[in-house]
Amino acid sequence: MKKYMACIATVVAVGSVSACGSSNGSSTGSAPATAATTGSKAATGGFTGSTKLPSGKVGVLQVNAQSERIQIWGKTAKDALSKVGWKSEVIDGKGDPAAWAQAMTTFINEKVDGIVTLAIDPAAILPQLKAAKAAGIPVITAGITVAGPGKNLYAANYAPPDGRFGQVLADYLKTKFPAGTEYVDQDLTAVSGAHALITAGDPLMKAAGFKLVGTKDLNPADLVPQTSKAAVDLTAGHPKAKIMLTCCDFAPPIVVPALKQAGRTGVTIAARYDNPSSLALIRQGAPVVIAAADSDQSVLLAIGQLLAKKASGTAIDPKADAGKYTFKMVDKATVPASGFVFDPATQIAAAVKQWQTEYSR
Amino acid sequence: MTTVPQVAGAKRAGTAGSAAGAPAPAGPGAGGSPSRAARGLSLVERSAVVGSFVIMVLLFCLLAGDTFPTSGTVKDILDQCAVPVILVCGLTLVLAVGEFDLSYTATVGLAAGLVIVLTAQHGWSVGPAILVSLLASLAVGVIVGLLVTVGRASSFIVTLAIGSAVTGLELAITGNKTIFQNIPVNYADLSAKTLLGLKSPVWAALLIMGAIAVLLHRTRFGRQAQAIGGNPTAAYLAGVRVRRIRVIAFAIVAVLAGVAAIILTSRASSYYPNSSAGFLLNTYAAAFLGASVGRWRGFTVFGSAFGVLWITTLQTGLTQANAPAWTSSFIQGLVLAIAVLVASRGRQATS
Repeated sequence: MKKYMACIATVVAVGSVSACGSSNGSSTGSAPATAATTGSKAATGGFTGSTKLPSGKVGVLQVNAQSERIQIWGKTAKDALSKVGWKSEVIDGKGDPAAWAQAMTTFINEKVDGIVTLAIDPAAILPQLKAAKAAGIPVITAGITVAGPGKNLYAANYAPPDGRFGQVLADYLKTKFPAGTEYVDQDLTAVSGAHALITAGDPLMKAAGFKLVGTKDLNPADLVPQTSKAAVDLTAGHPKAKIMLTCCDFAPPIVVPALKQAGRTGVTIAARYDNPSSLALIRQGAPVVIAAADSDQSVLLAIGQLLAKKASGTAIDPKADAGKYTFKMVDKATVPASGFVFDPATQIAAAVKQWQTEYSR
Repeated sequence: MTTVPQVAGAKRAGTAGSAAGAPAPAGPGAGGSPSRAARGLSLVERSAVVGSFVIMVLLFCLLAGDTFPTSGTVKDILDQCAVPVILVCGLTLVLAVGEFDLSYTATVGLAAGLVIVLTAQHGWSVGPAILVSLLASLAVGVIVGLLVTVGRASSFIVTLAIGSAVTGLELAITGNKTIFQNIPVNYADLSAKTLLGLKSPVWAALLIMGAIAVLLHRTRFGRQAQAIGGNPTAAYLAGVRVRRIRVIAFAIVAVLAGVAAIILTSRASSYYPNSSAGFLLNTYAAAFLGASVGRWRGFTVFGSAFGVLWITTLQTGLTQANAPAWTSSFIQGLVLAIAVLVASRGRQATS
């Protein structure tokens, strides 16, 4: 018995030492001055600004976490809020308007300090947006441009201009394909931000002499099977088409295998966002090109505005993101060997660094 | 228990009745000689779905003459039919026993997530991963079957609930994330193999369709299943083991959902969360469309498979003809409504 007790005591002691070590990091013991500085920084979390930042909580509502990009934006919000010591609650709306409304109501009842919605058109949550406004809870939508009635109930809509993706893609494709090249569109008119890529890209493509020979408007209720089937049918119906301009970031990982299975590998898929799955396909040599943007900035701007409102009562600036975004075309020649083109972690670090100079905790 | 409304009769005349020991329902010609006009109307009704298919194909040949009537398009359509045909074969069994199943697309998701997570993230070889995902599918089917039969619960509600739970399980296993890395090459190759110009999923669908058709239409099990669908009480009194057959039907549809999941993920070389939900309505539409094909007006495997072919051909043709997006849903809904009405008229005529 004594032997077992001794073992337990030893394990507990070792555990304690190890715990002390991890809390103090590498500065333990050997350099007291450094340890003090580090301890001071740790106490403030590196926040050395003049404005006191109270604690807070933000509700983040994703339109549908099936989307890789929506997941990334949700994680960006969660990570950034955690770095400023704020709580976050990220809810997957599962593409279901009823779930969106329920999540919004939950956030309002919890009296959160702000809500960030990711890609939810306002009409679907109009009563909840009104209720949030009445409760004094600012709601910002980020990531993608929204449209429709009730848009003014959002305190701001931060997003890289969706049409710009279409322009960037069209400008790139003009340099890679001759005039007269036939192409097809995969559109999603039900989502205004997704549709904007096509409405901006098509006129430029046509002006460059490209010929739009087929379009498929996807049904949002059946996205994955439809995207795959539409790609095969469009290319079968228009065998001379060399380009598929797609509204949506989820298309490449669905379309590339579908076309490969159908034996149509000569079609270039032009899509948006530097999603890991799209980048992996480009690295593997699949015919995919993407227009990427530092879209996580939109989420970080939303959080920054909510922090400022809570800390100093600053009104939310609906134009805070004007001219902030950078776009870049990615193809096989320019794809990074690993990671993102616009790394969310880097964008978070830049935002946190700025907040550290503005706020104290 | 929820039983399928007898929109389509849910039984083949003669076989169902005799298996249950109940009098065989009268055929179209029973109860006196129908008039020539009535016989003509009946013929039009029976051939409405097949006739509309022929007209549709001819129209698409005119509208997209360069591309639609080609072997490439036929192969594409058959390839696209493979997964829904596999699913509708299982669904037909469940409908034949007079039940509903709203959980099988969730089972597709679970099996898809399992096989991909096991191979891509845990380094399992393809065979054992497939086996585990099929066993998991079987387990879901058996649980649903037991809840419906032993638990005497409504299949509509139970399968809705189990479907939701299974989707939750799928998302827990996969982290609700797209998985596209480290998929074994031999797994992706499964659906890429070709025989006589047709892809392996098409052959799999044909084999399964044949097997389920024999099971439902040429075996004692099938006759009993249809007897249960026609009149469960009569079937029970005739000595049919109603519970067991219903559990088996739910188990078969679940296992077929697992097979469909393997084909889907093998084709895509990836897993996409909850991507199978879209199959639910289309397969039900196909089964009901198929139920109005021919003179039996009941759920038949070939009828259901024809329903899938009908819907897939419509979608493909409209896409190739650059028709607006709404046309597909509109025409599909319209034809389905007409088909159900036709089947309903047929049932009234034979009852």
